[in-house]
Amino acid sequence: MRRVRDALLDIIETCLRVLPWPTEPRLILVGKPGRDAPVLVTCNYDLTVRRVLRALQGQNAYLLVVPTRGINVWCAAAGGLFTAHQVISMLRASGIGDKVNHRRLILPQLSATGVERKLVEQRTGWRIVFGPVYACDLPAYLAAERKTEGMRRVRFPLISRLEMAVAWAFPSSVVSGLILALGWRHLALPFVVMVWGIAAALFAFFPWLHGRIWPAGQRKPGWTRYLIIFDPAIRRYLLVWMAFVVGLCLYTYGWGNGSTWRVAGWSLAGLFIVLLISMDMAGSTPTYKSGLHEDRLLRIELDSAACKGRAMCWEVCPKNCYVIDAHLHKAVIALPDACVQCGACVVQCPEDALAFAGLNGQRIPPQMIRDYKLNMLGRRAKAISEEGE
Amino acid sequence: MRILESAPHRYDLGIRLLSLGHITSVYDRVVELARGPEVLDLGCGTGNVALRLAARGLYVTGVDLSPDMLDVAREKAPASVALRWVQAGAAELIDHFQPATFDTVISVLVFSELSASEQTETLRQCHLLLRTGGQLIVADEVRAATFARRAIQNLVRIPLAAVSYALTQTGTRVVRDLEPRVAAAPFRIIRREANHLGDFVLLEAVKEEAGDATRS
Repeated sequence: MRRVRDALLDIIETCLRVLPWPTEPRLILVGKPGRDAPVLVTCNYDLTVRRVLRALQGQNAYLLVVPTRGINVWCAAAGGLFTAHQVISMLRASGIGDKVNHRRLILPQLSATGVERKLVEQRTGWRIVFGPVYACDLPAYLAAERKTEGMRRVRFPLISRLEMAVAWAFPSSVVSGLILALGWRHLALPFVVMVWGIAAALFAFFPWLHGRIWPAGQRKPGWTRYLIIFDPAIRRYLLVWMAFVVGLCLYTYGWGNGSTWRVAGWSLAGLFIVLLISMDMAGSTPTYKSGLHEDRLLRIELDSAACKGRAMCWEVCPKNCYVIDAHLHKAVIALPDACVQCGACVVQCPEDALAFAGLNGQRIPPQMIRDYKLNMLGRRAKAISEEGE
Repeated sequence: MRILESAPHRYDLGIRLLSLGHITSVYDRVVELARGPEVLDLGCGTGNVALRLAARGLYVTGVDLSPDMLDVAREKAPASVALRWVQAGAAELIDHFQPATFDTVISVLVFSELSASEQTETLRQCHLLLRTGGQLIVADEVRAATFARRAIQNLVRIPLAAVSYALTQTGTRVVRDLEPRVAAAPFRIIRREANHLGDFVLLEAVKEEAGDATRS
């Protein structure tokens, strides 16, 4: 029964995963945890909590679910909803301190962009360790008590990509399909099939489309920018849509049956498809930089003199951008182009040696990123303009 | 009312609209009841209660988790009044204040944003921070008492929640078991005011001497 319920919830929550799915923040006992059992932390996004519990089957551990408003680890951390405050709050409210002998808290690595480690440690005496990115790596991580390079890196395999395709296709096909069905019932079904096909194709070929054919973070060259894939520039996709409508009119009135109602229906369907294709799908993954706000792309600057090689950046970077020079005890940004600007390294650097810098060279103080969660989409503009004033 | 928090500059207008203007009378009532002189406004947001209290001449400390909200509060505060603003979560009061620092702790629309265990922890800390005889004032959305009233409550709430979901991708919640939790902290509830529907309450409670509390 429980398995059926879980499977149903999995399907519903995957189809509607763009919505928050809050579950009660609480302390969950996994197996029969003793006084030395590991204490893990996760967000209160229901899908995540159930996946973590599934990964922990057969283990004895405590799982502390912190209130992130039903939003997943990565989005909540980058959006200022999964921070040191939520962790401190649940550490105290759950009374976990009385249940274990140790003070070692394992957080999901992707929360590093939100949870300021230093603050939790100062306030509570708990020591924070950033565990693996993925729940499925937890058993191996707990057994070995160390993180391999693979556990630190964000992956985007076909199965995850298809999950994302479902998450895009389901709500957009339902909403726009219903609107179309109001006036153009014969159009609705072929349209829905098209939406699912486009979403599946875009995500199946995602790594090739985004990154190889069009290098990430760069303007698409020449006419190819009018393919508007992952490119939410309003002027561009409206232009493409208008071109489509003009073509549609030419065809319908020139060769077809000249039905205006039909033109209207297909124009609407065309608008929905243009919107779907141009959506910021890159930004909805943890592996690619958002395509929104080209003007707000920032660089990470490393002040090598301040760096003491404590490797926090190396530990939390989901793209493995850093290497540590063991002789010099310094971090080096080895893969600057792979950076997705999550800011985890900036938030965690104990020496404030890392900072975001705008295209015009303005440096945003790391504490500002920590306090205001400026890695949140849209907030950077505020920081840069205020700095420039 | 967390749904408006992501847009601090629009919070005041938004919350007035959502409460159909009632929130202003809640602020006024809370301010009227507050004795002070040392007042902690927990979850002060853009400072609506804190600024009114300060205008009455009380010594006010506003605490909020959101630095953006505090920025708006600072902008609104006239230069002439002395107010303290502290960025902290509801369970981080003990990190910033000594025990028995305040005469009054106020929290308007805060407990509805906390999980059950956090509410208990926050009340424990409020109790610790208050002087003996100190006053706790809590105003929040609660679950209506009877089935019929809950039905009316949901009739209003669900469309409202749908709209706020569409606009801000976040829902609102109501507090359950607020009164037993306050009583268990332990506070003695001396006043309870509710609206007609019974889905918004204002509680006034006092911290008694340790001996009194165990007896009750």
